[in-house]
Amino acid sequence: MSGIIDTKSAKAYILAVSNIFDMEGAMAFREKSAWISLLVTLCIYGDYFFNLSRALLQGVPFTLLGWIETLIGLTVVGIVLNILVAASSPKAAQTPRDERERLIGMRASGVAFYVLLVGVLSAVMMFYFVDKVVLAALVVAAVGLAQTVQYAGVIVGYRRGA
Amino acid sequence: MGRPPTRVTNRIRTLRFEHGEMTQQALADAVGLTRQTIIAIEQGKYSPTLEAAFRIAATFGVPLERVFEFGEGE
Repeated sequence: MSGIIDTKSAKAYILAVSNIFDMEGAMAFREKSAWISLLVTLCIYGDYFFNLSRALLQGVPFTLLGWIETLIGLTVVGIVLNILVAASSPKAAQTPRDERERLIGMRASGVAFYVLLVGVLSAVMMFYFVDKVVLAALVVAAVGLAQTVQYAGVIVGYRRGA
Repeated sequence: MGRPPTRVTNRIRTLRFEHGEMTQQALADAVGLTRQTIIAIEQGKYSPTLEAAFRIAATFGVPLERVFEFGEGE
């Protein structure tokens, strides 16, 4: 993997996720899953913008290849961590979402949708003023921010109780 | 002028005690909710749907108004 996703970062990430696992009983299965997704999302988009900034500052072309490797790698890490969490509480993992969990998910998705809408429309309005790399970065930022808001919204919902 | 705040209170903790210290998990399984949702309802953080409220009351074998009360907040 490239960029900020090195061995040190990976260890820090796994330690952070382990601390979440230690909160067994205090945290619902789906909240743990949302934490994993949030951390994976932050790492994926953090890596994208780290590499993009570096390329822009150094005046070299930005390629997506390294980021796609990170994207695939971290997605696999996220899936594996979700499987581990599900294995630690199989009953909760197999139980369908109840009404409160669906409500939490819908609220978070609703807020994330507006973030995505405003972000993408803002990027479209910049079409005539920026080059295609920056335009693509604005769209990626909108998607990344919307995903972050969604997972953060789910976590906040679970922390607040509804 | 907005609507005055409202509050739904419940006696689930008392009713669980009266039913042989029924666990939150047992109640959750009986009504098809998660334990975390039962906790949220007991703590007044979440108001269940009418259907879930009826299922909770039916589990305890009491009318709905013995489980939930609706009162206007201050």
